[in-house]
Parts: sequence; structure tokens; C-alpha cells
Amino acid sequence: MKLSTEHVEAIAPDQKSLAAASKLLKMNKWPQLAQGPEGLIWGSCQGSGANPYRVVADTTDLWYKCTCPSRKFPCKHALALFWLFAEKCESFAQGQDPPEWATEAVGRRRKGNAKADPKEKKADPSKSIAKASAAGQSEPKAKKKAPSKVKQAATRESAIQASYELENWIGDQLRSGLSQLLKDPASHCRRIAARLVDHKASALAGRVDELPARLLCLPNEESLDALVAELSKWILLCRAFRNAPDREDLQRDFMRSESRDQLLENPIAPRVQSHWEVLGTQHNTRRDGLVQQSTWLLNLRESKKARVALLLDFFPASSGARGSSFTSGEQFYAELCFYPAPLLQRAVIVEREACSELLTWPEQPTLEREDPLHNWSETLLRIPWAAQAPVRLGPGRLVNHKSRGWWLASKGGWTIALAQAASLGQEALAYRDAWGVWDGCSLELLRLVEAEEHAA
Amino acid sequence: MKSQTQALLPALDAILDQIKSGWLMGDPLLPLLPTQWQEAACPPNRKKGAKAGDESELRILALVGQYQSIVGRPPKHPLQARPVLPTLDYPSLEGKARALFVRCIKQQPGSTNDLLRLMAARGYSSHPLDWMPKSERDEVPELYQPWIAWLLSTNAEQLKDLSEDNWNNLSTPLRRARLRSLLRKDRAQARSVIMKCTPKLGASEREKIIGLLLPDAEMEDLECLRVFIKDRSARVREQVHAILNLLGASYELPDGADDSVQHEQFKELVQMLVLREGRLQAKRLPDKKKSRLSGGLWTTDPRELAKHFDLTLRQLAQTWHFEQNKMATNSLIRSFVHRGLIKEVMPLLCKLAKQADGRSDPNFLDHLSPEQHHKLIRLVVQRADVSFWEIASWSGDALGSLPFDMLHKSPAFKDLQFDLINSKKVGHEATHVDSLMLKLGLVVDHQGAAKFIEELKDLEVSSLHPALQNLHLNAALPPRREPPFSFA
Repeated sequence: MKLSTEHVEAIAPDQKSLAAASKLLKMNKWPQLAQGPEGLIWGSCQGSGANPYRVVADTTDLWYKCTCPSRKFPCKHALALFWLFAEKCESFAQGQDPPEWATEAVGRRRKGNAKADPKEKKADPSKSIAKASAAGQSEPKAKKKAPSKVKQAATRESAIQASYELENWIGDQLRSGLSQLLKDPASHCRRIAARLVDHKASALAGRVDELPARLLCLPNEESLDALVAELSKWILLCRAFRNAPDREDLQRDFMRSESRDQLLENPIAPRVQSHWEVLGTQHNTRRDGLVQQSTWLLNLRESKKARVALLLDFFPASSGARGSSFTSGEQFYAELCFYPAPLLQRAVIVEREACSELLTWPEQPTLEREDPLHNWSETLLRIPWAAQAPVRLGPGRLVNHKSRGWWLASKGGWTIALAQAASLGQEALAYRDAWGVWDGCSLELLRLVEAEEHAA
Repeated sequence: MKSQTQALLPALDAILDQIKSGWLMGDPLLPLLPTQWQEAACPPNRKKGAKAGDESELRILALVGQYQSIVGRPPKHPLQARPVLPTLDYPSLEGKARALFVRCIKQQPGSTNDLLRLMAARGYSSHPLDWMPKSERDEVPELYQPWIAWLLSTNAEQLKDLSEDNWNNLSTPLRRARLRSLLRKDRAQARSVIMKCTPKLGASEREKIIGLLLPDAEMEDLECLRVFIKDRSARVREQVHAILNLLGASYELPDGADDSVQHEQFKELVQMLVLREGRLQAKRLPDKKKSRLSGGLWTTDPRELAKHFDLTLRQLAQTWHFEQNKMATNSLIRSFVHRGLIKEVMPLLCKLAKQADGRSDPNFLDHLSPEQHHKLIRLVVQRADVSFWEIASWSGDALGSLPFDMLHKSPAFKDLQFDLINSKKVGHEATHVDSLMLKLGLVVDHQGAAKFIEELKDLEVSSLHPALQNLHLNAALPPRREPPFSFA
């Protein structure tokens, strides 16, 4: 079947979807577009999140799958992919093997739900490609109205009030004994988190809400230390915010982050062009029903400014499991825009390009070789309330001990508790190097590099 | 300066432990603090909204938390890493083939062993992060024996070659695993270790260790076997006799008692059989006796059996009515096979290959020569009622070696085509058709796999269909070594 715009028109759920899809027809929105065997096409579409959405579709029967959480079927990304193929099929790289995520999506596909020929559908005059294209060209992009200064001041004042509330709450916990809080952290934290949300301190509320889950993962004997460390950070954050409520990084940790567009328009947001490697992706289902997807990138060119970048994405847990747009170990060139902060870490991708050259990791600094958690201390010295930091571990092994996994460094005999037990295969190998994320209590491994004698 | 600070840390830790205990119970903080700390903790003027006493507590809490995070490192645990995994004879899969293997075992965990055999036949092993044996009882290709030994070991010392010196340091299963490896690497050394170390063990362990000699028994093993011919355990003696019979070696029985016991057992065995209208078959027996018959057939020399019924060995195999009692048939075949009487049992194997159903368990394939195995597989493939399930089960170590032409013309593929077309007509996918395509991916050779993917695409099966996973993996495994045998 030769795909045409009539097909796209026929499968669109409504005119609004077509209009939304028309805005995605610019090639710079699609870092990846390719076609494979038997009419399969796929691409990555840069949406509002840090990670692009992945769309795979079959042009023979108009089947599609997109990683976005939209409840419209097809979503604007799938419609745009079909539309682009109908009009600019030469822009799709040819003869490529479908990537793992596309193959998996096709593998899970049930043949029974293949669409009937859309031409058999009755023409719906309310949907038109022509109208959508025209609307896309003529309507200027309506900008969100910036909140007024009075409103901003009121929000800030409310957040400052939240900081006092939280400190009072911590004082209450100390007076009644932290054992009470440790006995039932969920209900205690829920109540204060709700009050913080009322006072516009949503980011801090999210952090408070996550505390019970963190404590539950730890052995009993470690939970008091973890609680003390976290309460300490909240106090420091509250005081820092009260001292400088206009600082962007503090507002981000206390209230809410700026949007991708706001960040890209910020002239002081640092941009770094480099060769990056994906270290790994973490998924964390939060109590507010969102899944936080954290993708860590390593700057392969020596850089003191931005050594590691963190891409954050959020999507509703109810939209189902979603794979990462990145594969661990994948390398690419990209321009990243960093959220301004004393330590550059969180970023969004501005532009991304495939690379043919593969680089190795930069040499590990001496201080890190002596102490794998050196970067954690450095992070805390700059951001005392930091919840986690990426750490490079150097050579070592994985060991399971008392049903808990440990990193055992080859040099210095450092042992670092892991968030999860190691698999048998992981325990069997020696590693030349590794990266993980340390949260003060346990380490989540991101990427392990096998020692050469075991490299495939 | 640094050492001075280090010296202060234990005292500081003791104070902090006291403070944290106070917080845990809700005790007031100030009495717990050293005097100079109390001054530092008390604020000159209290902040807005904070309650009295809170400020100093919060300040101390903030400092303690930071101290813990930066100075208080996780304590070092005296952990011992396992020995590093031994490397295998074949390299592990890489790139696309590795990803395909991972997907295959994720979606068909029941076929893992078949996939490992296919990979081993082509000269590849699994990457330890993708798959590893979990217990010494796992039935895995011989290639993975060093990993089994690793599983059973607790230190690198135990992974050294087995010798009389380290024999006592190893657990019983690990000894067997190390012995199995040594028998492959240096059989003479293995025999020497068996002769010196085994007599001290218990009977059942001696029996298991002698059993390790059975698969590749050779005339050089005679000296070792003769050590055990007068063993104090009847079961060990029986096993040694079976191996000596297999080798065609002469031996003297230790005493007459055994002879009479054997005679009695033989008498009981032949009473359970009947030769009627040119067919030798088992009588109708209760279950208990059935298993005695089966055990007896395995230990009895088929030459004696043939002699008793006045038949030649070939006639015995030809006249055996195998449909009557499957368990007894398997035992009889094993008895032939383990005594090296393969040629003589071939008529029975051919009959079995022509008629056996999918439930038959051809566990004798390892003992056949390539030519004999070819002959059987050809018979199986040509059968009209056979599916790729049976073909895979009769392929044994010949997985991934059947040529495209042979399979393409087979009734099994015709049936598959028919089922595929039918399932399309009905409009839903049939699970059994998927399973047949998966089995096809295991039996066909490397070039044939790519051809079958094209062939199935013509039958409107998408090349990304999960049922073609094994074919894709097969096509991504170019042979790194000569296949055990070739049908080309």
C-alpha cells in the first residue's frame, strides 16, 4: 500500500490531532527517522520532556506504537510519522535493521488488532490535512502568559512559609522521638508533604513523600542514620531558600522546575557540545503516580564544567511501562543545555547527532581512584542538600553478602552497599570500571565495564 | 593536621551516637552536648516561627547529617569475592547474535538448553550476564562444565586441576565436576586420581565416580576398572561389569556367589518376556515388575538374552515389539548401546524412528556414529506424521545441521505451510504453528535459516514475528567450527 496523506486524514481521531501533528513536521523535531523491511518505519520525536518519544509504525496496515502517554489513538507523534513518510519518505534512512525497542514493540503486536484499510472508512469532512497545515502556518505560536510579579511574590512568600512549617515539623519529630517517625514514616510524611504542596513547595513535598520508600529499602540498623542525613538536608535547603528565594536552582529544588522552553530561552543556561555516552537509566515510581526516568550521560571529552549530565523525564505510571529512548553504552554527539546550578548536572538535549567514532572513558582523577565516593563529597560541598551523585568506581567486583549486593573495590578494599543484590553472572566477572549513583546509603549501578580478559 | 582530625573522630562518633540515641527517644538535646557545643548551637536570636529550643536542635541536626554524609563513610566489610569465572573453550556471543539470544531465552525459557546446544554446535557460548547454569543438576552442554565447577567452588584454589593433594578440600559435587573436566583434559591423570582417592569413599559416591568413566570409556581405563572389579559394593561391581562388557574386555568374577545371583536375576528377567509369532515382547506386568524388567534389561548383556531365545543379536533387535513397553525398550536400547552393539540395534532404532511418537526420548543419540545418526534423522524427517518437534528431539547434537532442501521437501514443512495458510484464513494465529516455526529455527543449518525466513515471508509471516526468533538467531551464528557432522 502506498501511503498517502488521505490515509493519515482517515486515521486521525480528530482535527485537533492533525493540527498538533502538523507542528511536528519539522525535521529538527526528529533526531531519528528510518525505514526497515516490510513497510516498517520508526523515529524519535523530541517532545517537551528531556527524552524523545519513540514511534514505530507499519505503513502496510497503519499499525503504530508510541511511547508518549497520550490517550488519543493514534497520537500526534504517530500521525506526524505517517504524514512525514507520505510526503518526505526520502528523509527516512533506508535499509536499516529495526532497533531493539522497535522489534520488541512489533513482537508484542497482536495481529488481530491490525487496522482495516483506512480507505474503507467513511470520509469525515470534519478532519482535513489542508486545514491543519494552513492553521499550522498562519496561527502564530500562542505563548503562555507569564505569571505576574505580584503572583510570583505571593508564591515565594508562601514557599518561605512552607520552609518554616517543615522546620517546625522536624522539631516536633525530634521532641516526640524519631522512633515514632521510623515506625510509621508514610503517614507522618504524607501529612507534611500535603501541607508543603498547599504552600507551593511541590518539589520539596515530592522529596518528603519519597522518604518512606527510601527508608523501607534499608536494613533497620541503617534507617536512623539515613533519616538524620535526610532531615539535615531539608533544614539546609529550607535555610538556603529563605536566604536567596530568587535563586533558580533553589526554586527548582523547593518549588518547581522551569519548563524546557523556559530553560532554552534562558541566556545564562550553559550549553555544552560534546561526545556523550549513555551510562544508564533509572526508573522510579513516585507516590504521586508519576514515573521518574533518569538518564545519565557521561561527557567523553575532558570537561571540568560538565562531566556528567542527567536527563529527567516524568510520565504517568498509569500509561504503562515505557522503555528508555537510550541504550546503555550508546554514544552520540549532542548539544546539551544545563539547568543553571552551582554544579551542572540536570540538562536537556538541544540537538543530537549519531556518531561513528567510539571514545573510551576519560582517565579517572587520582582522588577518585583513592576514594570512590569522592564525587559525593564534592557534590555535597557545593550542594549540601543533594540527594544523590554519580560516582565512578574504578576496578572491582560484585559480592553478595547476607542477601545484599556489595561493590568491592580492587584498590583499597572499599565496600559499598548496592541497592540490589548482584546476579550470579555479575558476581562471576571482574570489572575494569563502573559508574553508579550513590544516595548516601546505597549505590545503584549504572554501567559496568568488564575486565579485558572477560570482554566478549 | 589531617592525622589530628582523624584522631578526634572516634571521640566525635561516640558523642554523635549519644545524640542520635537521644533523638530516637525524644530526649532533650542540650544536656547531651559538650559545653562548647552548647554555646555554638544556641542562636543569638531565634528565627521567626521557630519554637524555643528548636533552633539549636535543628542546627545540630543539620551538622550531624552533613558530618555523616561527608566524613562518616560506609564501614568496610571484610568481604570475599568469588573466584573469577573460568573462560570457556568457545567465545561468548556478541552484538546482534547476543541480543537475539537474550530475546529468545526471555520469551522461550523452556528452550534455553536447545539454544545453548545450537550455539555450542556452532562454536559459541553464552555471555555470563545473559545466562549461567544455576545448579550442578542443570542439564547443559559439556562446554559449560568449568562454570558448573565455578558454581560449586568458594575460592580460586578449588578451581585448580584436581589432584590427590586437593581432593580432600573439595565438596563431593565439586569433586565430580572437577573430575569430569579432568577426564576431558587429561584422562590418564584422572584415572590415577580415581584409583588413589575413590576407594576411601562411600559406596554410592564410588558408584557415581565410576559412572563418570562410562560415556567415553576406552581400553586404557581397564587398569582402573580392574581395581573396582572386586569392590565391596555389589552396585559398583555391577557398574564395572557393564563398562567392561561395553569395552568387550574379559574379566574374572570375584566369587561364585555373584554368579548365582546374576543367574537368578537373569532367570526372572526372561520369565517376564515372551517370544510369540516371531515377536519378542514383555508380558503384561504390574508396575513394580515393569520397573524390575526395565532395570534388568539395562544390566543384562543382550548377547545372553539373544542366546536364551535362540536368536542372533540382529534378530533380537528386529523382533523386539517396542510398542508394548516403552520403558523396557529404552533399557534394551541402552544395554545394546552401552556395550557398543550399535550396528546390531540399528534395525530397532530405525523402526523406532519410523514410528515413535513425539513423547519418545532418544537418549542414546550420543553413542551413535555420525552415519548412524544421519540415517535415523533421514528416516524421521521423511515420515509423513512427524512434526518439527520430533525432528528436533531426534537431532541430538545435530541441532542446526539439517540442510534447507531436506527440510523444505519434508512432510513436516508441508504441514507447517498448510497450518499457516489455514490459520490466516481463520483470522487468528495458532500457538502450535508458532512453536513449530521455533523448532524449525533450531534444526535447520545456518544457510537454511536465512532461506526459511524468506520462505515464510512469502507465506505472509512478518520477518519480525516472534516465532522467527530462533531462525534469526540461527542465521546470525555463522559456524566457527566444523559441525559435529554435516548432511551436505
